[in-house]
Amino acid sequence: MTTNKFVASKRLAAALALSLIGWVSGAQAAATIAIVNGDPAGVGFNDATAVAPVGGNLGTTLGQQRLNAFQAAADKWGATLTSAVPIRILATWEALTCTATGAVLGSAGATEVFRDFTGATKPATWYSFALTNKITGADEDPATAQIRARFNVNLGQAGCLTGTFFYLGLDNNHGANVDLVTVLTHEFGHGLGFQTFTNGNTGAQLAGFPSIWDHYLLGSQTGLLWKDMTDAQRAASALTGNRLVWTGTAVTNALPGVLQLGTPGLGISGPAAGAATGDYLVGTASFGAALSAVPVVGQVMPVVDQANGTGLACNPLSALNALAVKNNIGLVDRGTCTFTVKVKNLQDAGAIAVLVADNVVGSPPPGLGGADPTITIPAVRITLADATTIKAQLTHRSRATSGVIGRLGVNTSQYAGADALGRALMYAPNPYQGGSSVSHWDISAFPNQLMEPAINGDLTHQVTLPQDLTFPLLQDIGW
Amino acid sequence: MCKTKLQATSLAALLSVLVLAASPAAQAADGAGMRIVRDPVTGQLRAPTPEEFQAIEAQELKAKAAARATTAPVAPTEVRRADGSAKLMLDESQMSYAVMTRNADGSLTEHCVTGADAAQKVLSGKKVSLVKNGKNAKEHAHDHE
Repeated sequence: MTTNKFVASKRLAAALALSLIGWVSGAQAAATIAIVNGDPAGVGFNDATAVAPVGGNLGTTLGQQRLNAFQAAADKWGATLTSAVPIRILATWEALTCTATGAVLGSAGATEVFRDFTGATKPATWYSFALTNKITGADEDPATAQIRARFNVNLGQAGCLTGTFFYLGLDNNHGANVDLVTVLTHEFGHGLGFQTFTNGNTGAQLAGFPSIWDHYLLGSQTGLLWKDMTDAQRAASALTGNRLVWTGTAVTNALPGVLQLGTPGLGISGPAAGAATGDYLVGTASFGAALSAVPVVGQVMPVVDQANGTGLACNPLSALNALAVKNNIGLVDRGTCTFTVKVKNLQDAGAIAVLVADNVVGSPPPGLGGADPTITIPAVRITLADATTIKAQLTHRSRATSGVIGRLGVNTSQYAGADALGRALMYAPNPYQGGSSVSHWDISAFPNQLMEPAINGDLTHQVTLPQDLTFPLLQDIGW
Repeated sequence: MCKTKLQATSLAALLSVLVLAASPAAQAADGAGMRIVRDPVTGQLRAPTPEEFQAIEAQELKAKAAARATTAPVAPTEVRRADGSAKLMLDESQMSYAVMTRNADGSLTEHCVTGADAAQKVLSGKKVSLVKNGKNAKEHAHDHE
C-alpha cells in the first residue's frame, strides 16, 4: 500500500512539477527549493477562504498563507544550503489522525535514498535524495519530488486538538498556537538528511547498508561507530543516554560557540563508593535551591521507612532516619507523596540535599515537579538503575556515615548537550523512544536546538550558527 | 466510484460509510480515501461529523493494527541502476511525523517521531513525554510523586 502511495506521489509530482509549483525560493538562495502544491481545487493551499494578514504573512486567502508559510521554511534552508539541483517538496494538506487532545501536525521526509553514485564520499552508504542530487549535480530521479510533506488540514477544529491552530505568521509570534514555520523547518531538516535510515530499535540497517549518518554516530561506551556495530550493538547503543555522540568535525568545532557551559550532575566518590564511583545524570527540581558551580558535598545516606528497605519520607523522619540524613545528602525513593513533601521532611531533619530515586526504569531522569517556597536545599531525581548502584554501596554504613560521598552541582567545564570531550550528544533515552531516538539532538542541549525531538517554544527560526547546530551537522554528512 | 468500507459495526448500523476514490492529493496519509457517510435520516451522502469521523478512523486503525499483527513487514526493494549505483524508495515508516498532545494541565507537548506507527503511539498516550532537565518545568509540573 505504501509503495502504491509513493508511485502515486511520483506521478503527482511529475504532473504537477511544471504546472502547479506554488512558489520558488528567492534568487539569493544558494539552493532553490520549490513547494509543489499537490492539493486539489478548494483544499489546503487552494482554500480560498479570505483571511487577514498575520505576522508578516500577507496572503489574503487561507491557502495562500499556508503556501507562504511553507515557502518561508523552505527559504530558510534554501538560503543555507548549496545545491545546483532544485529541491522539490511535494506538499499537501490532508485529514491526518486526530483526537480532541492530540493530533498529527504533519509529516515529511525524503522520498528516496541512493548509494554508490558518482561522487559519494562513502561507499555502500545511503544518502538522502536531495543530498545525492547536490553531490552528483544532477537530478537522479526527475519524476519524483525529493521530499514529501503532508500537513493536517483539520488542526484546531472540533475533535482535532480542538482550539489549537497552526499559526501562519512568519514572525514566530505564535502564542498558544503551533508555529507552522518552525514545525516545517524541523521536518524539512529531516527530509534533507538529518536522520539515519537505520532502525534504532532493532539496529537493522536499511537493506543491509548504513546511512551516511552512521559514519559519524559513535557509541562512546564501546568506542564503535554505528556503521561498524552489529545490529545488537546498535540497538544497545541507542539506549545509552549520554553515551551516544556525534563525531563530525563541523559540529564539534562549532559546538562551543552554540551551547552553553554548565551541566548539572551528581558525582559519587569516597572510600566506600566502590563500583558506584562515577558521574550520574540528574533531573533537577522546580523547587528548592538551584544547582550551582559551587557543589553541595556530603555523605549519601538513605532513608529507610518501609519494610522492604526503601524510604518514602512521606512523614516527618524518625529519630534514626533524622540522624542519618542530618548534615548529609539524603536518598529517598519516589512514590506515595509529592516530591516537595519528601524533600521538606528531609530538610526539616537537617539534610543538606536530597536525591530522589526513581521507581520506574528510564533514563535520563526527568525533573522533579512541584512548588514549595519554604524548601531551600537542592533536590534532584536519579534513575532507578543508578540508585540501585549507589544503594549497593550503602549496605555497610553506620547510623550517621556511609563513606559514599556525593557531589551535587553544575559542571562548568562541560557544555549542556555535549559529553565531557565536547562532542554533541544525540538522543538515546532508555526505554527507546520510537522514532525520536538517535535522529535528534539530546534534550539536554541548551540553548534549545531546532532538531531536538520536541520543538520548544523558545526556538527562533534560525538553522545556522551561532544559534543552531543543524547546518554544521548537514555539512558533516556532505551538504 | 465508491465502495463500502465498513460492515457489521455499530456505526455501520446507522450509517453507510463510503470511500471516494479521491485524487492522491486528497487522500489521507494512511492511504484511505476521502470519507463520506450516508445520512440515516435523509439518505443523502454527506461529510461525516467529527464524531462520525473519529468513529470511522478508530475502526480503520483497529483494522490496520490487526492487519499488521498478521502480516510480515515487506522489505524495501532496492533498484540497481546501470551506473552501478542503487536507489531505494522510502515508505511511511521512514517519514518524520510531528505530533502534538495536550497535557492534563492544558500545556502542549510536541513530539517528532519517525513512522506512522510511532505517531499513533504518541496519540495513544503510550509514549513517555519528553522532559528537559531543569529547563522545562511546565512539562512535569503535574508529576509530583
